Amino acid sequence: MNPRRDMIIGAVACIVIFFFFVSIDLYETVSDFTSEHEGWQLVEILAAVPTLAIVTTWFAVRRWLEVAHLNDRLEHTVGQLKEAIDDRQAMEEQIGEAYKMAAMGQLSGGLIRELNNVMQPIVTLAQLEVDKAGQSESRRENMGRVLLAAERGCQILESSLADPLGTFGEPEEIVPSQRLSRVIGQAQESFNNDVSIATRFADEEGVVSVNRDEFDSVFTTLLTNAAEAMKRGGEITVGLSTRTFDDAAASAQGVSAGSYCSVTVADQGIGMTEEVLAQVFDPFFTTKSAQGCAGLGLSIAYDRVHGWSGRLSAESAPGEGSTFEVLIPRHDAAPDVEI
Amino acid sequence: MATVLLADDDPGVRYALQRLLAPQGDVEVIEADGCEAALELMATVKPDLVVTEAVMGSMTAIDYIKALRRACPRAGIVALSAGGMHQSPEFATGLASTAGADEVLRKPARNGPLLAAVNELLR
Repeated sequence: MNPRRDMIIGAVACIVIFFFFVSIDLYETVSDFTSEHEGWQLVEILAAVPTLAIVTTWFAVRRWLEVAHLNDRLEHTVGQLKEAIDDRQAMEEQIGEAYKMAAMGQLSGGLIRELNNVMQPIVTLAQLEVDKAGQSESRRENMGRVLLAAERGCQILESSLADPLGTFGEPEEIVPSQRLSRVIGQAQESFNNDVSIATRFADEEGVVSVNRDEFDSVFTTLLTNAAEAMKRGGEITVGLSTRTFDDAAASAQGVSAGSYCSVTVADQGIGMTEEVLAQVFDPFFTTKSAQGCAGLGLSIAYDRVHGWSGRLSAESAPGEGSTFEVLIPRHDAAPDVEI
Repeated sequence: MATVLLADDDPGVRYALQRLLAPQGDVEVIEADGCEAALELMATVKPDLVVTEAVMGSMTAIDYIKALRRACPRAGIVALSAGGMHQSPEFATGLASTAGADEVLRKPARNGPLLAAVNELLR
């Protein structure tokens, strides 16, 4: 319904009808008609007017009801269509996520298989050498060292890579600003002088529960990536704040409702096209293959942040730099907080 | 003399396990480099024991172990696994156990438990 449009149509219709009556000389027509029907009683004429008005109103109301009904149906259909489009978008996002996770799982699965097969002859032959009679003491000791190293490798394999899609280490309570300052300090030392790192940390941050090595690894990857995007130098800005999502907002973010520590890493680099942005977390996707990059850093970071029940996302446009955001559930927050 | 079929698609693993198993008393070790070769030898040689990787080639662990069992019902089966592209070593050995393997060990298998399983099944 558009009242403004209806008013304009009504006004135009009045003008058209007015000129139509003028053109047919309505006064003369009425005058002629009444002269020809002088025999009619006034009461008949008066009765005809409301009769016509009632019939016309009845048709108008009926038409209006039909239009209103059609309008309701149209609005309902549009609503259903919008819902279907939203569902499809959500499903496509979920399928995209599933593909990424499957690719990571396949990568880890293949790696575990290869490493286990590499470890098998080392463990078997080192143990045979250690057990062999008549060995010199130094040779036995050397093989013992090999066996110890192999056993350590096996323990790492069994405990760390056994759950390729899960977390890689024991979580611990971390104050994000403290840990980030440390990672930023180390990163700054490895960058050239043209790249600086500024921080914008909110006063209130809380604590998160993640493994500190994983935490360092994720943010080192993001900082290194940002520095590599700024060949001509510039400033990386690391922001730290708290974001709280209710059910609807959390669903849009792809996380559970609650309070999150948000860490953003923004660069002033060349930015990314939509096509690059869509693949930036895919395993083996890289725009720097000529520099020997395997394209695994961001996909591993993505996998780890998901392992924390968090989310790693990116926003970018060509020439406008990129901003990566890591959401990590706050360990100290009440579970049912609202926006 | 007992015959042990050693099947693995990794030559390094076959070399190491052959060196481990061959000195175990009166044992002849024959090797297969994949599941097709293993099934063929299983049917023709009829070994007393198979020590094999459970996930090889295009066969699933369940199909492979069941096929081994059908080819020579009396042979003992020790299934090892390094895992697969889509499955952990524990999952693969679990499948092998379900399919009828007598003993399952994840790779890298330690000499002690592997020899204990071999000796038990050859007894």
